[in-house]
Amino acid sequence: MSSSGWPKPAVEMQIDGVEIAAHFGSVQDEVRTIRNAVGLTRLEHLSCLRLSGRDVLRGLEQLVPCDLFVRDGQLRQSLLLRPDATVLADIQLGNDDDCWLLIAEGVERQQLIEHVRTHSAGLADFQIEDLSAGRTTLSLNGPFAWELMAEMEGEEIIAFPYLSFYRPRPESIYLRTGKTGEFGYDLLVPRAEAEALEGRILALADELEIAPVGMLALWCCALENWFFNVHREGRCGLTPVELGLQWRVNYDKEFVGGEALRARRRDVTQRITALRSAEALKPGDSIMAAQQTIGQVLHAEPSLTLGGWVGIGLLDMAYAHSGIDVYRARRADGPQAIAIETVSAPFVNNLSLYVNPQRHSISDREAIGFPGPDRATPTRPGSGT
Amino acid sequence: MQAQHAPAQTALTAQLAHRTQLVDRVKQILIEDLHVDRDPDAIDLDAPLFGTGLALDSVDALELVVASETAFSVRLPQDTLRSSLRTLNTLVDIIIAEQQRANSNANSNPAEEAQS
Repeated sequence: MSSSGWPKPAVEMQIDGVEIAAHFGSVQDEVRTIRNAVGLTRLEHLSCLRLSGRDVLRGLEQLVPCDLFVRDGQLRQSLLLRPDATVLADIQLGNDDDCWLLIAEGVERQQLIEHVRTHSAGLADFQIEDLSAGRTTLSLNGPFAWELMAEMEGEEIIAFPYLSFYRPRPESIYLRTGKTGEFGYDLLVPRAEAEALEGRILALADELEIAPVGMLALWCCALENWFFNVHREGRCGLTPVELGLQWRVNYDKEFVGGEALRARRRDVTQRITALRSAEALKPGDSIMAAQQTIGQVLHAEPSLTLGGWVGIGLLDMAYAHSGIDVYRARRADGPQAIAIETVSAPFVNNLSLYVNPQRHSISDREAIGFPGPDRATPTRPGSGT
Repeated sequence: MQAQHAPAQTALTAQLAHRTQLVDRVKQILIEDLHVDRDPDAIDLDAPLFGTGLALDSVDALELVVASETAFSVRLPQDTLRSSLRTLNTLVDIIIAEQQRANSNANSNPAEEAQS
């Protein structure tokens, strides 16, 4: 345990070349924390670059596939693509006055800097500063993460909108973000201050039910809420067309991977679709409609919020629709067909959607009219006993 | 064997065709009524409608509900809108559910229907 009270992870994993906590003993408990209270994670692998200079807009236009109409203090979710249009990194782009923040995961920091440098070569004034050097990111996720932030930073934090950021102190950047479907804040702080901040957070642990959570719990929640995971489906050789990420792309501009992406869009034959099953699914399982193979399972795992299994199927376009319960998964090494259902994402209904920071608190959580996490069987508020 | 699968295949084909038709019509509403500046094939079915994704706002939400109710002759239940307006797919789900509910009401109360 560190001096801040931060426990040692039970299992670590390497992400983007950095060792970080996979879990602290029970992924199930950690998911429960994220869905009902506040989970705290050190995102050591997250990279943050500050891009500046007279040519910064020209460089970014070429580098990122989204448009750059982003107001000062706001973030936009996009991607970095390789020339073949597959995904290199999942990014958030922030307009920071005369500079831009590029927050990325899915790529090692040095490779990210090389990628940016390569695609900005030839620009007279394009500066890259690695803000991650000497800093770490503490991530808070949960329906009452705002309450913790309000305790630490003041009530005005409640009005801080999703996908925005501010600087509480010159060397720190607080981002209102997250990939769990619950309230989320990423706090990029100097490494020397991180333990003290963790200590302040953990001092409120009993009152706000804060607990450390690892990457596996965050990834489980991300899948349940259909957030893109660059480390899983992002590593299947697919482009934003099949991945359902075209909303992060503006086809009317030129960018790295643009030509290949437009070609893929013309010839696309498959797209990803959300799957549910009572039984275990495995990557590579064939998806069948009667005797015809119509796709495969890309990724699946138990839904620790809903029970059963949730996953991502890559289906032929004609079959890639939700609301179908007659498809079956078939494993290469077994004759047994597994019943699956295609569903509309996200899989879960989030407590955060029903929490009103002006009225609620974790202490009266039970009084919040939350119909339950399963979107497939919603109970209308007020219809129960 | 083939014959056994034929009715199921026909039902699946019909279900997919109906879903595709609804998806295409909702995309048309998004583009023509809400002025979403994207080609139909570039609108992702599971992308968030609000905030990120298509970045619609609360005024758009109202317009989307009204346009969908008009286009599909259904009433979208107000108390489930928070859950059903998350993506294009979730909106189509609720439209299908309301169509089925209306059909089942009509079939179970033919006398009432005839008198109304």
